[in-house]
Amino acid sequence: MISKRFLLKRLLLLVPVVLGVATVVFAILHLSPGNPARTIAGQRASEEFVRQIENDLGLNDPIYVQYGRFLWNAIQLDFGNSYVIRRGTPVTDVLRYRFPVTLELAIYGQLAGIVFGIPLGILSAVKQDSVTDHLTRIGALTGISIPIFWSGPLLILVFATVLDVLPTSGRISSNYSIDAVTGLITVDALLSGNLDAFLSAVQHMLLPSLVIGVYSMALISRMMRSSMLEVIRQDYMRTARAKGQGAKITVMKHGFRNALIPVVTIIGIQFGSLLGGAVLTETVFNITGIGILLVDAISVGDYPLVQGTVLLFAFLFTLVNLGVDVTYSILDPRIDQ
Amino acid sequence: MDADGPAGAESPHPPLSRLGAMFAVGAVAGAVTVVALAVGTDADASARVFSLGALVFGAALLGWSTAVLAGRGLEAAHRHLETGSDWTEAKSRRAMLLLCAFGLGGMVGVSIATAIA
Repeated sequence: MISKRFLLKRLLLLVPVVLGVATVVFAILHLSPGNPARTIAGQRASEEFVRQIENDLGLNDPIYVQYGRFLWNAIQLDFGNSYVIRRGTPVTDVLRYRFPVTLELAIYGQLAGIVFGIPLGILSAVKQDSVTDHLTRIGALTGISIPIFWSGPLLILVFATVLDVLPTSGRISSNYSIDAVTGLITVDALLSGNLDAFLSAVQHMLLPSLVIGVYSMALISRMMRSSMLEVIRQDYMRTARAKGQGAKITVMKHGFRNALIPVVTIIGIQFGSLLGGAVLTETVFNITGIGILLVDAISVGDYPLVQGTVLLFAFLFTLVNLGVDVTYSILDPRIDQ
Repeated sequence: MDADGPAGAESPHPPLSRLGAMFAVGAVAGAVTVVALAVGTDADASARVFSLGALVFGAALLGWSTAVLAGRGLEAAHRHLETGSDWTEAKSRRAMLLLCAFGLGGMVGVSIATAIA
C-alpha cells in the first residue's frame, strides 16, 4: 500500500520541476537571436507593421511582465497561438492533435521493449555464460549500437520493399477514414468497430514500434540480466532452493520482483526518452507527431509552440517518474518509509 | 565538521542569512549589469540580463528538484561504486538553493532597475 504522504510529496515536487523547465525555456528563447514579430510579419514587412505586431503580442512590455504573463498563462494551459507553423491556431489545439501520435508510438515501442527485453534478460541471467547468454548479450549490444536512422530504412527495405508484407510509412491506409476519439489510431480504429482499419493501423505501427523498441529492448534486457544475476546470488534465493523449491519458481517468485526495481527505473527513463526522441522515427516513417513539430517550431522560431511542446514533455516526464516511484513502493514497500 | 553544522547531520537547507546574501548579490549584479549595458546603448539589456538570471534560477530549481527526487539514490550509487566522491544530497540541495537565490536576486534586481529607469 502506497502511503499518502509519499504520494503527496512526489506530486508536490512536480511543481518546482515544471516551474524550472518553464523558466529555462523562457530564458533560452529570449536569449536566442531573432524577433518573433519579424518572423510573423515576414522579411519584407515594414518596420511599422513589425512594431504593431510587437505591441499586439506584448513583446514591448518589460521582460518581467512578459515572464509573469507567461507563467500565469501556462498555469491556465494557455500557451498562446502558433506564430508560423499553424498560424493563429492555439498551441493547445495543435498539441492535442499531434501529441497522441507520438504517445502511441512511444507506448508501442516501450511495450515491444518490455515484452522482449525482460524475458531475454532473465533467460540470459539464468543461463549465464551459455550460448543463449552470449547471443542475447550480442543482440543487446547490437540493439544499443544501431542508430534509428539506419535501422529504420533497413527494416523498410526488408519488410516493405523486398518482402512486401508491411507498409513503408503513415499511420493507416488511405482507404480508411477514422474519426479521432482518443487520437491513438489503433484505439480509434477499434472503437469504430472496423476490424480491417484496425489491422491496417497495427501493420503501419509495427515497423516504427519495432525500430523504436529495439534500443529500449536492448537496454532493458541488459539491465534485467545484471539485476537478476545479483539477485540470484542472494542468500534468500539459496534458502528457497534448499527448502526444495524448483529453480523456475524460485527465480520467478522470489528473484523477479526484486530484480525488477532497477529495470523499472530504466523503463521510466526510457519512456521519457522515447517521447522526446521520436523525431528520427517520425521522420523515417513519415509520422506527423510532436517530435517533428518541435524541430520545425525551433527552426522557424515559433516560440509559443516550442514553449508548449517542451513544457508538455517535461510534465509527462515528471509524471512518468512519479509512476516509477509509485511502482518502486509497490515492488518494495520499504522504499516509501 | 561541516561549515553549517556537524558532519553527521548535514542540513539540506542553507542558513537564511546566506540565502539572503546570495539573493542580494544576484540583485546587485543584475541591476548593475543592466545599467552598464543600457549606458552602452544596448536596447535589450534588461531582457538579456533578466533571461540570464532566469536561466540560473530555472537550472538551479531543476537541480534542487533532482537532488530531492533522486539524491539519495545517487548518494547510494556513489557509495556502492566506491567513487570516493563526497557528493551528498544535502550538500547538493544547499548549493542549488543558493544558486536559486542568486538567480532570483538577479531577476528581481533587473526588474527593479528597469522599473526605476
